[in-house]
Amino acid sequence: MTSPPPPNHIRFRAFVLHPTWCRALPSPFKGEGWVGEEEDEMEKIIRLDKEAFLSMAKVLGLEEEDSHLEELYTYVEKLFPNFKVAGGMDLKEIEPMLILVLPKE
Amino acid sequence: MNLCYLSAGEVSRLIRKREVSPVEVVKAHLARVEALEPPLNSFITLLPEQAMEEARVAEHEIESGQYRGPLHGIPIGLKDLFYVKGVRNTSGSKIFDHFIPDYDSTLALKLREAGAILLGKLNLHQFAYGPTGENPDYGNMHNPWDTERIPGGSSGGSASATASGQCTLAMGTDTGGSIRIPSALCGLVGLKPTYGRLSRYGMTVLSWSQDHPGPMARTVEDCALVMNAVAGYDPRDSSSANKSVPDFTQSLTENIKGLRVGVPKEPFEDPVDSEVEHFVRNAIELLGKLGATIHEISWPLYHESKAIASTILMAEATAYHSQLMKRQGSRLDPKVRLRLEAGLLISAVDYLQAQRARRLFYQQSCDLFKNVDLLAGPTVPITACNIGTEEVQIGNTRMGVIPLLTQHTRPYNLNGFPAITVPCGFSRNGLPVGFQLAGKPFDEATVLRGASAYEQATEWHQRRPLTSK
Repeated sequence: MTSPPPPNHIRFRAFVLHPTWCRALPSPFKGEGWVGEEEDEMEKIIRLDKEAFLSMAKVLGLEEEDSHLEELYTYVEKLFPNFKVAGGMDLKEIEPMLILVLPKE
Repeated sequence: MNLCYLSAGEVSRLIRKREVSPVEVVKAHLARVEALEPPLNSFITLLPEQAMEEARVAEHEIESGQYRGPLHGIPIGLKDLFYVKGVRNTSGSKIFDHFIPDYDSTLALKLREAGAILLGKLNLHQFAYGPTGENPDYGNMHNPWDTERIPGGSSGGSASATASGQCTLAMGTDTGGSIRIPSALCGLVGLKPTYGRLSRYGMTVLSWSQDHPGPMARTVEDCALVMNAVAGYDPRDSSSANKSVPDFTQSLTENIKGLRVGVPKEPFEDPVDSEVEHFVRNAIELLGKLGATIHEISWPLYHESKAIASTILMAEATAYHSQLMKRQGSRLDPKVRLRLEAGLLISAVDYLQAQRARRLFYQQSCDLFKNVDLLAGPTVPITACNIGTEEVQIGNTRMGVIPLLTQHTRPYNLNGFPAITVPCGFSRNGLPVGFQLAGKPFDEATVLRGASAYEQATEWHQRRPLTSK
């Protein structure tokens, strides 16, 4: 019986199986905007594909004039790798902190 | 004696001895507002008649022996996202220009019960979603040290009004640094207490799990006085902590001999303006001279924490504002709208991974505090830039202003630990610099103790802008 693959492997495969959503680019990447500028040390980083963005925007009800979507895409494209930073970390056996309740005395 | 530049502690001692009356104090501040506004643009709603009426009531109460405590008769401002019954609450957006809440936020209520007098509601970055203090709906806020420059945000009006002597102190909120950033850029003391220490009830939400209300003042003592009045459990806030509340002024006079101050190396690995670094390192050195032991340490997830914090913030802000965004998107500040729409692209998996990473970061933060009592570092790596500036040069690196402003404040929104900024110098062009001290959860007393010891040994907090007006 083989042991299950590590979570990172599963994660990577998930992205490979959905190539229209994102594609891997070599690091380093420097994000911009509200999220902050992060030195990305992941071996591979994720970038939002424009075609995928446009179809997602439509699904999300963001049908707007082209110039606004273009501006939004430029903005989101820079942020997108930051959304994936946590997914690139070793989070084995770590549960989400859904509500930050600090320990009682 | 300029009543407008005395601290709350100083004014309260005069009021208690009946050397000045609340009416005199409020009148002086309203005159100051008249002299400085609208150029600073600190207020969205001014309440002069109501404030004078409250001052007369306070005067009568004090004369008849009903002294409520150190905030009795002290003129304050509230960021325009704390609900006050019967007073409009815009959250910095014209969409809510006519919105009048029919109940009080817990903090507004507690401050009123303590006798504080509300002068008005203060300008902010729209929905508190930005760190510069720019607002297309109600106009940009201005830094009183140089009115061409940003005061920082999102509590920009709270900072500019307090720094310029228009109110004695103010309340702000901090989701990614929105108390500490404008406090640092305007030469104030700003405290973000532990998550759960102060009630969020009746505040406009930006991010449920990272919003922290807190005081902004000209001295550490004033922050402690506000904490004494407003801290405590509130069953109406789901995240409120049922913890005992100390007298926060008790620790202010204690020395810091033997206090262990950790200095993470990571903030200094990021670009920091050389003048800012100089003043921050001097401040840390002074803590050592005052008896603290200084320990250089490493915080491995520090750099990642900023992306984790902002992923959570953006997802929560978009969730909270989703209906508004769909129905009135075109009426939003275009930059705020972009941030809100960008949040739609964060998947549920991204959000949950970020919350898992948050737990890891929290555990790592707790581990750090097994060996130190405080952490020290820069609050903001630059001084205030000109309004409208998108990028600045630091050494050989050109960087966006927005990520720069928030990069050292965000980690403490992610872990929820208390953090304070204290003035620690002025640049060659006369702009304030702040340094940050953070402590263990619910140990604001030690944070205030360290900040007070530093403040008492320096004179930075005594400098005033716009003194000729």
